[in-house]
Amino acid sequence: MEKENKNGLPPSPEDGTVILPDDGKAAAGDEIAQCDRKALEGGTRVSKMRQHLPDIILILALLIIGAVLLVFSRSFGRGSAVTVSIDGEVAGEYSLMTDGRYPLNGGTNTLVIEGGSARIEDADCPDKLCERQGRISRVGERIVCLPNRVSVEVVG
Amino acid sequence: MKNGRSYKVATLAMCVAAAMLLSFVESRIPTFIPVPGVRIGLANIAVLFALYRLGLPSAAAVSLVRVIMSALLFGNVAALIYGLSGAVLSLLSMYLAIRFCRPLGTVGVSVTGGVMHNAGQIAAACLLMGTGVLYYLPVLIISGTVAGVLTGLLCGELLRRTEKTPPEPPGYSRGK
Repeated sequence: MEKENKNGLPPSPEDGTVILPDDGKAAAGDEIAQCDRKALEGGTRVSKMRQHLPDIILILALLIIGAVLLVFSRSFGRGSAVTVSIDGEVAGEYSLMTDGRYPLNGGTNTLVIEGGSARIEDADCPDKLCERQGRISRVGERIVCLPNRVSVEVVG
Repeated sequence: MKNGRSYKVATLAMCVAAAMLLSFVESRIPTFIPVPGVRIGLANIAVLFALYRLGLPSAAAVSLVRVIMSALLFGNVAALIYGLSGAVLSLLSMYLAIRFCRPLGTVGVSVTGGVMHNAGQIAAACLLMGTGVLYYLPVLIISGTVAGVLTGLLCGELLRRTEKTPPEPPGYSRGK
């Protein structure tokens, strides 16, 4: 018998290509268990890159869509004010021109406006992600405190 | 042996336990990106493994038990709502991907699951606080894809290495 590696398949050739096994008949319930095997008859040599091509296409497509959406979600113009929404409804608007500290939502989050940009301080949510998001000043940018359902968005 | 009933029950239990453990470990990792919902999704490794080895109902069990238990243990009601919506969407999308998109390998399926998990969470957040959260969709798509690649690679490796049941250790004899 030729040398077999642990999986019962012939050893992989040195050049990184993969020999796909002859699948034969799959056991019942195994239809879904064909991970990373292409149902090719008679094990054909396929490079590892080609084997994963659909995956790579999907990944690239998603990354590109994400990047495009990222660019379009904010503009480059500086905003003049921020709109505060609580629970999805607008609760107030604060100008970015004048510095100030404003408690939001009954004090659960504090909005700090300083030097033309806004940020959140003093949030009582457990994760404090809103505080760590830093300053926003461009139109379309937004800070959301999910546990408190507070949203601060820069408007033009 | 691989399709035996006891194998399936044992594997299912192991997947649930693994999902819980991974969920806990993940809750201890500090968040590097301060956007709600950005996570590695390690527990998805167990769910995807169950999906490939045991089928949809078992994977659903793994996923739901894990979401409910970890929300009860380390989270809150909000975690439950977001977790459920993300998990359901993620599981369905992964199943459909395996079923109807044959060329897609483990990594592709995992990426689908990861992105749809985040999409589900955003959808739940939209219901709770309006469409403002859609602002985070791009970040979540990208992070979901990256996380999906990572967990997909790990899961694929796991599946590959458990293809055959291990040989009985020397000295073991049945029934003697």
